[in-house]
Amino acid sequence: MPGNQLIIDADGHILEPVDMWDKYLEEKYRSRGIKIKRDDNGMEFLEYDGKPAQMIRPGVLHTLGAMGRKAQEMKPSAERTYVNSAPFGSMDMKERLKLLDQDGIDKAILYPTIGLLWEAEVEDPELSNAYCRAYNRWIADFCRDSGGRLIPIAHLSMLDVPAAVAELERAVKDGCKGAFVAPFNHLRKAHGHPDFDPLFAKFQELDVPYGIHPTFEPVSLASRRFSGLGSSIWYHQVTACYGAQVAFTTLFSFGVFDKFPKLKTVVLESGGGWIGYWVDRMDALYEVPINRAPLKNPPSHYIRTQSWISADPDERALAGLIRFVGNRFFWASDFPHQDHGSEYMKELKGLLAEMPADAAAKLAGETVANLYRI
Amino acid sequence: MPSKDIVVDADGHILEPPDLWEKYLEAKYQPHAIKVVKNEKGLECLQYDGKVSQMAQPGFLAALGGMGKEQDQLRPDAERTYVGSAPFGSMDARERVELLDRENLAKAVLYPTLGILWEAEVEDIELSQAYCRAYNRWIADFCRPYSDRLIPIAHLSLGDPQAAAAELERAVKDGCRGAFVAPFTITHKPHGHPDHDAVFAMAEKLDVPFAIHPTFEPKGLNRARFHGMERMPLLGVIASQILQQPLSTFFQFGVFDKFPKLRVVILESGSSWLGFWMDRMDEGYETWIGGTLPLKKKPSEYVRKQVWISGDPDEQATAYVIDYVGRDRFFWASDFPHPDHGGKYLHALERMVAPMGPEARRGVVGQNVIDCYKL
Repeated sequence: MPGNQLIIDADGHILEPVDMWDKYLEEKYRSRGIKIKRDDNGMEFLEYDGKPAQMIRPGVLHTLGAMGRKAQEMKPSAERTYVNSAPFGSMDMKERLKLLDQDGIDKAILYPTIGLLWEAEVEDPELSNAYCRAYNRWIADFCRDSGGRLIPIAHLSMLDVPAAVAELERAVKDGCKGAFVAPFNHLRKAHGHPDFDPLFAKFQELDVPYGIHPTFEPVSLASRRFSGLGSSIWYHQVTACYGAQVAFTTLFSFGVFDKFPKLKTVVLESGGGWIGYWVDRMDALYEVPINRAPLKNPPSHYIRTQSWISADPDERALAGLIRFVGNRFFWASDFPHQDHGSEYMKELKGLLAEMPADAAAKLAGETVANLYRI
Repeated sequence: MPSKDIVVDADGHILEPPDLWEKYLEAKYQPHAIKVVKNEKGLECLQYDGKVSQMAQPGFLAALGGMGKEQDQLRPDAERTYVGSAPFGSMDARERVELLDRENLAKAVLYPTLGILWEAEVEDIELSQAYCRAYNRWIADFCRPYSDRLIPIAHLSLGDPQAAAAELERAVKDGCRGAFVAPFTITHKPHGHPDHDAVFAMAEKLDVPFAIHPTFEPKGLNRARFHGMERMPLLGVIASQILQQPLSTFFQFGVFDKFPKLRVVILESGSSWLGFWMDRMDEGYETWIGGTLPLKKKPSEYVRKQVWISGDPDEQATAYVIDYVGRDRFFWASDFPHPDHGGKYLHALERMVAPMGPEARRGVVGQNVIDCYKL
């Protein structure tokens, strides 16, 4: 990798401090905050709104920062904790800057960890918005003195649109460079639904990207295709990209891009190599005269003008696809999460080596820098 | 298309005669046959086992052969019928061969039309096997006079794996060159589940490919995320997800190690995503999660040896991943005469293969399907 190439991690994570919600929630919600507690066996568990989390079992919070660890280190443990297992750079701003230096990365766009878990189990719109506001205030503070190298992104809940609109405006004023939503909402209202138009309008007005990032999801949304795959972790890992793909597609189904021609959308942590197929198949379906999408142009037009995809650096299929889709891609480390490997810099170098210098420069950092204006 | 390349349609369809099941079902199942009936408005409906189909809307049957038609020609209308709207070559073997001649196609691998609708609504496992047997006997007869041009593929239902394995053996003896199953199972058992090993063992023993083809599906299998998803434009794009799920279970259960000569074919759900899926499967395999899989090698290695995929000719992205995935992995298919793909498939095919080198092009247009099916 040439020494002067701009390298930006488009989707890294932080582990939120244990007392973050206690400190950053508005006072009236503080008793309902997200907390880490210990059960009778000494195992850590998460609590939302006074109730133990159901989707992450006791004793495994230590795995949230377990990138690169082995299977035997992933078991429930009373000794290993969320904080004592957090790797260097996952909880401290200065450490993260040092980690970026070690990796040769210029900047990192940051997303939460616990913030990706709670939404599946919290259905109260008011509390959801309060949780988001708390995180957003904290991440802006966390990144504030990083010299512009750590980029805060706000988390928005879709359950109360006016509240999300107000929070986006507040968070961006406070330093956030964009916002993300989960690939689901408890209303089961598609992301492209016109009820969310005020939110898209605000993204457009503030000129910041709208991201869709995978999260834990309510069990009721899981595919009912097969039974008996409950413990098949690998199967669930590979299919975890589906929610973001579907949520993103509904933006086309409802003609969002024509209504908001300056809206910029980003699909995160769902791979990048599927988008070539999406271009071809959505364009083909657009031509079929049954149940036509309300779009002025073929769907590929909006992918090539208003959509960006954050890919995994070990996606070898990407080098060829960029020539077809265009420079719509970022790369992301997913640090410090355990569902991706820790050799992301080596993988990135391998991937960049397979493409011409200008495409490599764009993928490595220029595209994401231009999009987020960082 | 350079004339020296052999061109094979890897996934064309026929429209079954409306009385197929009445004629080809064993006598005891004949009262339960699939039938085309008219409702009080004169619109044709499908009937399975005496019950009107809930998924095939009245009047929909006339659109099944509607490739290339405009919307106003596809709307339900009592004047339009399944048989009356069937295009040239969709119901008659001699006509189909003539169509192949006109289009300079050497062969077409054939799949059903009504046969990919009923399974979503028929929960009777025994009757499902009987419906499959009837279709399989008929398609073998249909193709028999032109067995070097029209390639019959058997339909299997995994609800009863022993019966499905026996039917595969019978059908292949009768002329079928492979079999397909739906992307869902009536038992909800994943395709790769050991309960289905009898079918994989038989496909391996008979040396014929085992394919997965999209079908109508029971509600809620994939479209639970948002209200109204069933009717949302463009959501058909998730066909890739629908086929990735059963394919992935072959790795979750180590099927390719158990059956190292099994050949699996993925149909009518796009093809350029296969490189993405290899990357994604490998990525999970290479973290600690990989230790939970019963695999000797990383998933992409099995894909490059035991999996083939049939693309839509209007896929332009495939040319950009084929050298990475493997030039011997891809087919193309017309989907003729179905209305969810365009009618200009040969024109699209030329565009699809234009950026490819000669070896890749030769494989995609026909040689790969010849090699995989040993035609």
